[in-house]
Amino acid sequence: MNQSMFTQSGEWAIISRHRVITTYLKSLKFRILLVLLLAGWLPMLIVASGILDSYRERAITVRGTDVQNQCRILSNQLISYNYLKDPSSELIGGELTQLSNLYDGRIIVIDENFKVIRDTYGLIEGKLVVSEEVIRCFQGETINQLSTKRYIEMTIPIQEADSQKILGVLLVSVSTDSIWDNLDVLSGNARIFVLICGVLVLTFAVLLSYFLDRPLNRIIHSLQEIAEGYSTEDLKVKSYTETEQISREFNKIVNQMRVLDESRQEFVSNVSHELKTPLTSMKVLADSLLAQEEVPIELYQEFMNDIAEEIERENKIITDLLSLVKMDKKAANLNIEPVDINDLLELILKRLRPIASRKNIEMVLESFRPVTAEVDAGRLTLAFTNLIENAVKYNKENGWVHVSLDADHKFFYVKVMDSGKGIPEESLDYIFERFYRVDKSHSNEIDGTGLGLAITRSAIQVHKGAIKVTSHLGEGTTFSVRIPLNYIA
Amino acid sequence: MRRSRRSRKDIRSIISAIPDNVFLLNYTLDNGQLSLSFAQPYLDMSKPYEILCRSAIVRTLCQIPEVEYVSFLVGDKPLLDSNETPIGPLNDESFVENAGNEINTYTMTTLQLYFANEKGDRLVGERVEVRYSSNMSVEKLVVEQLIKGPITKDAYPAIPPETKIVSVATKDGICYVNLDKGFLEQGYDVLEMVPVYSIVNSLTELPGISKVQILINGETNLTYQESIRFETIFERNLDMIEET
Repeated sequence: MNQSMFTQSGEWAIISRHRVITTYLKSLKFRILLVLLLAGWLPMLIVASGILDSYRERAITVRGTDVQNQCRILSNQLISYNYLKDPSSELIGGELTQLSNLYDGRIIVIDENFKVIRDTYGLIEGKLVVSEEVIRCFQGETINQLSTKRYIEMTIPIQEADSQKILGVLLVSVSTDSIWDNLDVLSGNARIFVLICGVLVLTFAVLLSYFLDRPLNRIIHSLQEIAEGYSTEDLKVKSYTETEQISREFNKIVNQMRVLDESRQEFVSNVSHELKTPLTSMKVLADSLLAQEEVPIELYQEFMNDIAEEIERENKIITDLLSLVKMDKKAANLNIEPVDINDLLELILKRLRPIASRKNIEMVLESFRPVTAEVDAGRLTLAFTNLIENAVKYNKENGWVHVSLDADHKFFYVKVMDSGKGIPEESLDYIFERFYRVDKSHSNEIDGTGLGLAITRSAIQVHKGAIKVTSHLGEGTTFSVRIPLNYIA
Repeated sequence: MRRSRRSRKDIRSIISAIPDNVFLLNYTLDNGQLSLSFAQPYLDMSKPYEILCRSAIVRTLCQIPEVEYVSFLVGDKPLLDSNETPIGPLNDESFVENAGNEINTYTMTTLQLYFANEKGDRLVGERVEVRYSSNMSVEKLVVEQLIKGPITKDAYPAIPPETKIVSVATKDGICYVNLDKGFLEQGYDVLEMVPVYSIVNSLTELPGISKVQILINGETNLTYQESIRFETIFERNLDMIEET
């Protein structure tokens, strides 16, 4: 048997009935229902049967005790009327009949010769009783309350108050039919009561299970809408603490993804823009060459130079992009080893000296102590190179670049100070972003891709380090870097 | 091995009914009456032991076809009970004993019961043998059997089956049958006289009962169906019985 259902997107989905049943059985709704049913029915049933059982026990015990009482009184009467020797007393005879009628039972009076003096059913008078219970009773062991299904049977010795001698035995059986009839009626009532309450509990349980389950359904519904794209709203199901938490965490994730998506889009648009710029310049140069007719060779050479430079630039952008992307792979390929930071910095300064000397910039490395740290040399080199190269690039003629290295027992600190043009305050928050250039026109005045600081920050972050910048326009800029000496995975 | 060990234990737990120091002096068998004469030590036995011994002797010996009764003598004198009365001749029937744990046993009896005929206007008789606990009075047994219904083919139940017996008691020849309201329920398709006299005629078959009064939960201030008043003390009505 199949049941057809639409999913949200409108597809026909044939879901078999079997699936529907198993889906329901696995649901929280069903489990809540089961728990409520159990909590409702079980106590009821236990209480009902407990009470009925205890009634039965009590009723039988009380009946037995009553009869025993009566019989003890009777046995005293028998003694005082000397009934055992002379069973003619009408009074006693009447008492016996009355008692046996009252309890719907049978009384047999046996004398010390084991002879039956009186039987209220009149069946065994005059006979000798040799049964075990009677003999035991004569020997002092009374048997009380031997209960068969419908009767309570007991033996009661007839003895004088102050003597041990047992003069006779009363053999009594008493019907318990009335108790069973009562029990039947009570059971019937209990059954009806339990049934009615059971139905009420069932209804209540079903309703409650649906009601409690609703917030979860709302979450599922909202999630479906968000997944299908119908809704861009946040998830907001605040009925339970748990659903509230789920909503909050889910919204966080969605936001992260949105932000990620936006930054990706932005990155792609930035990248394509950056990649296009050199190409545009190249096209312009090429076109202008082609457009003119008699172009002198010097012009060709000059334009070819320019084109070559643009290609260089494009190359650099692509390389930088690649290294940035590699850096972003979250430290998957870090090559950690103990590195002498002094040597690393000295090497960088040595490599940049030619560029620095072109602008006559003085480069100083101040090292307070020897520092060895567990780092990825390649990446840190890249990072510091960018910083120091920037310090040189954005510097004035005859300026200076001051690099300092210090350490305590946990971190090592590198400061790169320059006497350059500085960074305006409003840009300070943005300089580490990709493709961000303070001079927004992306002019080629100072050669750059806008990715250097992004790469630097990425490299430092991957070492679990920190970077800060302070700057004054026209005076200079200081970059402060702090990196843990021991690599924390 | 285990089986033989067990049977040996059983045998050891069965001790002789007659103790070692009791001798039979002589016996006479005369016209079905067996007289056993024991030596003096017989009187030394404790009461319970003696009665068991006597019972064992009588029941064993009465199996012999020639023996109808057994009398006991000690020396020349007959055995006396505690009232100085001689204990007369005994046979199987003189003793009541039980098998098993019940103080009272099951016994068989034959009852003459009256149920409805096919048309539902008269009673038919049914003779049944019933085994019942001797705790129950025969009167109650009769009423129970009537409610249960007949076994023979031509007899039909007269009393509604949900009827419950509250009590059945006999006093001075009148049997008071106390039933619950189930007796008044719509029963079988019979004339109103039939259920009432089914009970009355069946009970008056018992010795000692000549009249019957029916009560409903202790009340007699009611009318059964159309015209029968429960205050009436019913007597046996032979006209109700169908001619066969």
